[in-house]
Amino acid sequence: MLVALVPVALIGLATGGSRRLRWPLAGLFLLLAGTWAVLLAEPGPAAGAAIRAGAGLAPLVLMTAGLVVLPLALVTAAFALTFRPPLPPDDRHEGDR
Amino acid sequence: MSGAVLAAALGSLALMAALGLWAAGRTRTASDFFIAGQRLGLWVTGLGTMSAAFSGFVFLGGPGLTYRIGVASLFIVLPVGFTAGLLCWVVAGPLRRLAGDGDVFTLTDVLARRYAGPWPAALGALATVVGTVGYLGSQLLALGLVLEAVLGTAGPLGAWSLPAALGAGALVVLFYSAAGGMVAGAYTDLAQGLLMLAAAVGVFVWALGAAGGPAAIVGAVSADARFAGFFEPFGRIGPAAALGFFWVFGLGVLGQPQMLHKFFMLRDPRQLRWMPLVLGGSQAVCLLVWVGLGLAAPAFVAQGRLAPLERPDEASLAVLLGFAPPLLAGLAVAGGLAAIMSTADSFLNIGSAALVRDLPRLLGRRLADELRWGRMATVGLAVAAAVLALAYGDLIALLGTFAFGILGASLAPALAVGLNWERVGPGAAAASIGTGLGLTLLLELVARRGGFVALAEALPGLAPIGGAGVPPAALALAASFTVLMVATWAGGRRPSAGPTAGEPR
Repeated sequence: MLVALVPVALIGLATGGSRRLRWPLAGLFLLLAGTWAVLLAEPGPAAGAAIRAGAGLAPLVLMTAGLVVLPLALVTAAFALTFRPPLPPDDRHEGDR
Repeated sequence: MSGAVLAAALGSLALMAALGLWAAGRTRTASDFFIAGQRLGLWVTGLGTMSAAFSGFVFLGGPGLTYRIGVASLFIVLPVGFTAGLLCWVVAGPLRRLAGDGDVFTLTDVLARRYAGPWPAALGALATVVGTVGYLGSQLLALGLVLEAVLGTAGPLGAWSLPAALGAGALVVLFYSAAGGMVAGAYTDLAQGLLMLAAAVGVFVWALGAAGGPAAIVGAVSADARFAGFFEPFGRIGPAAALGFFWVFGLGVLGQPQMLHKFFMLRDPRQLRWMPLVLGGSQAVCLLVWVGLGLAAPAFVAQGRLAPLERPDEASLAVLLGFAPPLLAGLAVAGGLAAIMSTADSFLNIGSAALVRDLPRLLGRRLADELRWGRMATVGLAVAAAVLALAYGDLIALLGTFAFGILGASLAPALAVGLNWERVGPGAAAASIGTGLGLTLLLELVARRGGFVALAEALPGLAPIGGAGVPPAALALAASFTVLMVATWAGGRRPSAGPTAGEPR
């Protein structure tokens, strides 16, 4: 789950553990980690059977929805809603903390 | 060869050369040349960042890699769901703040300002030059393949066809990069980004329809033993390699100068608010070309409409030039050329800045005419990259991933963590950059060269990119992060000698 945890931890570090970002970042972690968990849990032979049954695009849809579409929507909205312009050096620690 | 395709290709090259000429008149200072005078808006910066990041790798290399390893190749690009936000939260603000604070044009400048002592900046500049030559090589290889196919030089020129096509394309990129610097780069990137988006959407819709729709594609490819496991998420490379791809491209993005460099050019930091939407949204749309052509090529082969490909990198061109309507093929070829050239010109600019500005300054010297030397350095870099491209002898995506990995493993930890945690000292940063650079080169050599078989066998999880193991760059990136954190903690609570991005010096 490092692939989900490290990006979220870096954002948390960069934003000083902003309270306003707590839930969006938790959501991002759950999305990434959850999608990976589902993908990793899917056994190969079963996936092969699903493909032969005509559901071959299911993993592709899961990958793009869980790792691209939903995280992008979440990240875009969270960033825009919590955005503060980069402050001059002296004011940096007086921002949204 | 259709006249429309040829006209689109030549028109695209001519348009970029014209933009270079126009921009040359607006390039008067080193600031203009290296960071476009810091006067770009949201759309120019956002779409320029997308087009600099997405290159021949996406238009040619991606479908080629999909042809070889199946949908698992997408783990290279799936991180775009969060990387735009990650970039903006973690590095865009600090970089823009530093750029507005004086003579900061490059990532080496950032490292020099953030960390005391010469080592972090010197190693950063070295990693930038090495990564630049690698990434530029992958772009020139893609450019050569496109021009070779469009101009039909393979028959008349034989073995000299690819070198000749590669050289011709490199001359155009060199012309507008050397003449116009980053002013040309920024505006050509915008034009190229718009072209890439139009081509990606058009190609995706057409490709799925031409291959008979999703159900027909799945049916044909799944029934063909040559593509066994194609649709399974990890079917053809295994979970370790897929996770490695996602790790390298999800976090390595924080060390990519072709993207980070764009944040220096933003006129107003307040425009960052919508940057994740513009950057991430345009990247997601552009991925359609990877998916569309990546599914269509094996489907056409499985349906017996296309002969099996000897070189997977030919997948995009074989589908487009063999089956697409001439106008769409022309648009796609122009979009592909745009993708390649936008990344190539960004790297020419970044590499020349490292050679002409950064390294001499770190050696205590300053060139009298950086603008003139910068233009000359672009020529040297292009020649070195062209030689590497011709000597590498493998897929575009593999050379591109190797270069991306070098930059990510070397620079991402020292920038992403160091710009936001004042406790990171110059020793930890230098150790991390050195580890990332050295380990990526070493492991790549171990994974690819027969002379290191014993060492490769001692590291059974290691595999060349596209094999069933962890990509070398993923291990190097993890090691680089680990070294930075361990060295920082071991260094005690002593604050570093240099400021973090937002701290007063």
